[in-house]
Amino acid sequence: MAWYRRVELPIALTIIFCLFQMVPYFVVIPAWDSAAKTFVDWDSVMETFALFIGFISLLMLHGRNVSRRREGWHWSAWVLVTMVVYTIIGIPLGSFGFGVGGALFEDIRMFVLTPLSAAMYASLGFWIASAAYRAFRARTIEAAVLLVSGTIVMLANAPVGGSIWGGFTPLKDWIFDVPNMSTMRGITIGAALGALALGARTLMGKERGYLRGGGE
Amino acid sequence: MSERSGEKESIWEKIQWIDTRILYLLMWVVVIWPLISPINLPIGVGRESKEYYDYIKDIPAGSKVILSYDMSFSGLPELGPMSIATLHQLLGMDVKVYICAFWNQGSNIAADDIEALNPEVDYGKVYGVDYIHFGYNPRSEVGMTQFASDVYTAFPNDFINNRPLGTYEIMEGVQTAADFDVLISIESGTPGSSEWVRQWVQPYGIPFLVGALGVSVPGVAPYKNAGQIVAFIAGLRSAAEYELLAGRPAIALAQQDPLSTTHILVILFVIVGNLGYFFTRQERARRLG
Amino acid sequence: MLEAYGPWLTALFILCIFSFTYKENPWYRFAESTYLGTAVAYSIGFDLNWLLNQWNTIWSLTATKILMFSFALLVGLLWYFRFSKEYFYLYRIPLSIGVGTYIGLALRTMVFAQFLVQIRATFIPLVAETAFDTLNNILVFGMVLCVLLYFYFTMEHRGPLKYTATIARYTMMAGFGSAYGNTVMTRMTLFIGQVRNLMAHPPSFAIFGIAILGSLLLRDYMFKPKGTSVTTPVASD
Repeated sequence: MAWYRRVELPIALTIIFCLFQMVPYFVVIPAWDSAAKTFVDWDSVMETFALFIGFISLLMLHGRNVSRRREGWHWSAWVLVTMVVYTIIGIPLGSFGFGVGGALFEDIRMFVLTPLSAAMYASLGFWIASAAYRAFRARTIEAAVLLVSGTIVMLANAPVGGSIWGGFTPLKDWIFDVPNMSTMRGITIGAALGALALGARTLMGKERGYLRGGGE
Repeated sequence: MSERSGEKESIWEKIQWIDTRILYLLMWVVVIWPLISPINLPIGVGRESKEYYDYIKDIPAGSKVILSYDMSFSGLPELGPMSIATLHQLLGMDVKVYICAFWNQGSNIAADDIEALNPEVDYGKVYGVDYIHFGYNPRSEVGMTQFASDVYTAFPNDFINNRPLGTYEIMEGVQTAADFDVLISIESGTPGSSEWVRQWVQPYGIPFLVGALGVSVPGVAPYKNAGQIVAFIAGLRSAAEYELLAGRPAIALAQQDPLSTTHILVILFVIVGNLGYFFTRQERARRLG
Repeated sequence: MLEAYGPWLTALFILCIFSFTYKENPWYRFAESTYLGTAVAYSIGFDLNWLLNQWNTIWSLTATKILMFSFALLVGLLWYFRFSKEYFYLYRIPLSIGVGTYIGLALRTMVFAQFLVQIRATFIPLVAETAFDTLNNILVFGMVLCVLLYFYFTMEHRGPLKYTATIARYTMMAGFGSAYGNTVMTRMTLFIGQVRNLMAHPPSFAIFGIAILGSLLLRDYMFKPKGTSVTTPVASD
């Protein structure tokens, strides 16, 4: 296999650019620090050029559905239409009134994207209500502790809880300060250890998951 | 008849297997009813809201404050009241406000807040002198690092007029993170508080306040306890309390009644669901002998 | 341009999304498809705008910067070899540069921010001014240690580790209960916000609500299998 096709090249690049950013933080070398900062600016531009990857992926996936007339292909066609039209409206061509800040782009953002985005996440309220009815069972003592803790927090969050008993808020504060904080601190430290291990493996070239794909 | 045992279904089994759409209908009812006929339960002010409000109130005059809109449209019902109330409090003070966003939707939300508050008319502020909107940086944590080392490369132009930042009076003496005094982030998720703590708080020691969704409360706790976050508000309840303190009663306060009714409904669902579970388990055990 | 239709479009899209709670239907598929297309295009618009500003304000000013920008463009174009099986190796170049830079920037401060500072904050004076604070400090210290030991899987949780694991489980259940309570608040708030948006313009709410629900009920009635009713719980329940 030619040297430029081998996986060792991107691994070497990862290690070089990782150390390029890490070293000046710990060792004061002004020229290196300045170069690293300039590189971050360059890298930001380089990475932003990937902006069409999602567009092309959707084009390929939904285009295939349309061309093969798979079930629901007309919805795929609608996805493509909305995506292409709104992309064209988003191209910065001020003379046509297009681009971010243009009237049509803003109107579609305000009256189409905003309600859709908000409603999509708002529908989670239904699922959490049905989960509360169907799934949250105090089968064990631990589950009961979870439910009691959750109920106290819910009653403290809602004004009606304060009207029932003034003790819910101090209890909620205690749950936040002690068991919740302890849990999340343990998880944060554990996650940081995991990230450090992952970073060390990447620097040693042993972590290659991000390079997979392309049929290899 | 029970499909499961062939015997006649008890009331608890019927309740257990109720059509989910009836539960959803109940949700609509408990939300619409208090909006039409408000209950107006009183709300107290919690510890976190008071800390957040007091910290902002005590920011010295002339300070440079960053307000970062790291949020999306989906978080608007909880974060929208926080962001506009925070901007309202900041505009009412003698501080310079630098608005930015690391979520693209956040830059639009910030522009909407500016338009809603009308700083020139209602606060006597001038865009480019007292406040400015940097716009959006798409690079998440890398963008935050870029912002910390050089504002002008992270945000070349402002969002409102699309002019180079260097042409504005408010940018005099501003180059890096060290030139700012306070950082406030209203956030939906990632990039958010963890990234700000890593790239701004840890290296530069800048005081950091957070307005977050209710789901983010657990994640904020260790940073708050360690002092990396000096104050935070999270969730609609905190937003309503903060609106009261900031003197701008608005959407969050208006939504407290349906918040109460929906919470009572969810608690009832949990109780009834568990009662149904325990009683059907008893009956099943009785049938099996 | 669309202001006159704004409240109607808002109500239509919100109700189309919520119609999923009845069952999967064409109204929901229409709204979902619209959301997918517009969300992707919205991001592209902002990214393009940022790139243009970068070029106009920073990178077009000197010959060196123009050269650097051109090089960034060339390397940036390698991203699109992701879609080629034969030249996939080229996609790995900008990916590895980006991943390496990101890991370097994140890890260099993570050691302090999420590790050392957190550990230091755990080692607080156990004896505080009040008895309640003393108890809390002891509990926090003990609970954090137990939670950390809970995720230590190199040794089996027997003997003393069995007790620390039990304490950790109860601690985490109480913590996750708090997370659940706050999650309920967030989800309900999002729903309440949308209902308020609908109620802000009653005609659109009423007309589209009746149209969508009516069409779904009619479809179920017209196409229901024999011997069932339209309110029979669907399999997805």
